[in-house]
Amino acid sequence: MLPQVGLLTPTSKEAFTFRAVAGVPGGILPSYASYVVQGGVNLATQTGVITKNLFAGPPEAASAFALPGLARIVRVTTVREMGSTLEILGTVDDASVLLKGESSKVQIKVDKSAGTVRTPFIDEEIELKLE
Amino acid sequence: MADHLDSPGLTSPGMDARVDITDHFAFQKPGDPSKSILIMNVNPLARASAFNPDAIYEILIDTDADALPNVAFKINFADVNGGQLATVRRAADSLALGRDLTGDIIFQNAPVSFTSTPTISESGDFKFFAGLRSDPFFFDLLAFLNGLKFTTPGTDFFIKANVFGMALEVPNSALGSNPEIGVWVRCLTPENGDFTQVDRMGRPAINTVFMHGKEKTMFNRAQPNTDVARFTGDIVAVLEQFGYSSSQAGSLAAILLPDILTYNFNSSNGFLNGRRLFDDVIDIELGLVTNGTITTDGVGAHTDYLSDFPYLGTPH
Repeated sequence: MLPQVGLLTPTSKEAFTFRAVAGVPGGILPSYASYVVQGGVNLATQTGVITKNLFAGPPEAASAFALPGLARIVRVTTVREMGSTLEILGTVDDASVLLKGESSKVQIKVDKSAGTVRTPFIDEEIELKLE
Repeated sequence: MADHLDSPGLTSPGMDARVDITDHFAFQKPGDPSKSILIMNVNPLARASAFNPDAIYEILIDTDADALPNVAFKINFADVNGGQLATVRRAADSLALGRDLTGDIIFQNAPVSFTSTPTISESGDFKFFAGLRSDPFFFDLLAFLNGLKFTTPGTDFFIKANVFGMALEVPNSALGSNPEIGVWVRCLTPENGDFTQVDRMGRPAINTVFMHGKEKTMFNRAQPNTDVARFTGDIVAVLEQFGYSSSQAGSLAAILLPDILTYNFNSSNGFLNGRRLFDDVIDIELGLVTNGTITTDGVGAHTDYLSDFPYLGTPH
């Protein structure tokens, strides 16, 4: 099973951790891999760390094997709370891992009421489900 | 992604990459139409460092089009002094059906190669190789995962990947008298005192493209002679999403199942007649599956294939 960080959970008044998953490719074809975005942010200090990984296997049967070259560690630089939505901005500090055309700047939108997370996968924003 | 990273072992606690099939190939030996080359690769991205000594690796031959094996080449390994030695058996008729190590021994104590120099064993008209090699598969995996947004040129995810390969050179007479055969491969591992099929592959990417979720595991554990009854609906459903009519989708499904690679050993043609290392099977299948909407992933064959046995390129 995939490592668990936990649900979108208030760990203190200002801190949140979350884990969200989407199968890729989306759409018509069966998913081959699971895109997992997880981490924690602190609203008060505007800090945190988010990881993005692509695990082999669809969400219903995902493995713990992360496809090489696709892991990203995002250092959170800004967190904005707008109603039930968190907008998280961050940076991938290790530029050597970035694909051609991939930005080091990352935006992650967590919609607590909808149970979704929106963030880019490769070059297009996709929707993940909060677990 | 031809069959990489789809085995149920992947999701088990063991995550045994050693029995995760990546590809298999069957083609007429270049320059010698009396022989065929059969290759089975496992261990995607060479995450594990050896073959599974408890497993049985099988290359299966159907000579009478009933989707059951009439001939089986059964390969197993033993850990010896930090290395591995292979035994290769040929089982025919009822013995080919068994999930066990029966059959006539063709190679015994054939050394496994862990370095760049392939050690080739010979026995009569047969040759055998097992060991670390360059993965011959080529595909823009990221573009596929990114919603099939292929570009030209694409980026070959597997260009520097390694696998563990098993290659057999066999006289065609060892494949039966009918040149029209079917070939597939499978891995068996011990479970509750018996051997269980944990992965199998016929044509490339059938499981990957058409099976959803946990059905991938069911497909891997199934026998080809049950494919039509069990999995036609899955294939038709995907094809219809790409604009095929029910009738067209059904006709295509009837070609794709059972999941067996058809091969005429009197022909040097490639895929769909067997499969050579350099055959661009993904381009062919993309065009087929997407109803001609997508015809290429923008990457081509590797340049590191060897011109002689074992044909698989030097590991990276």
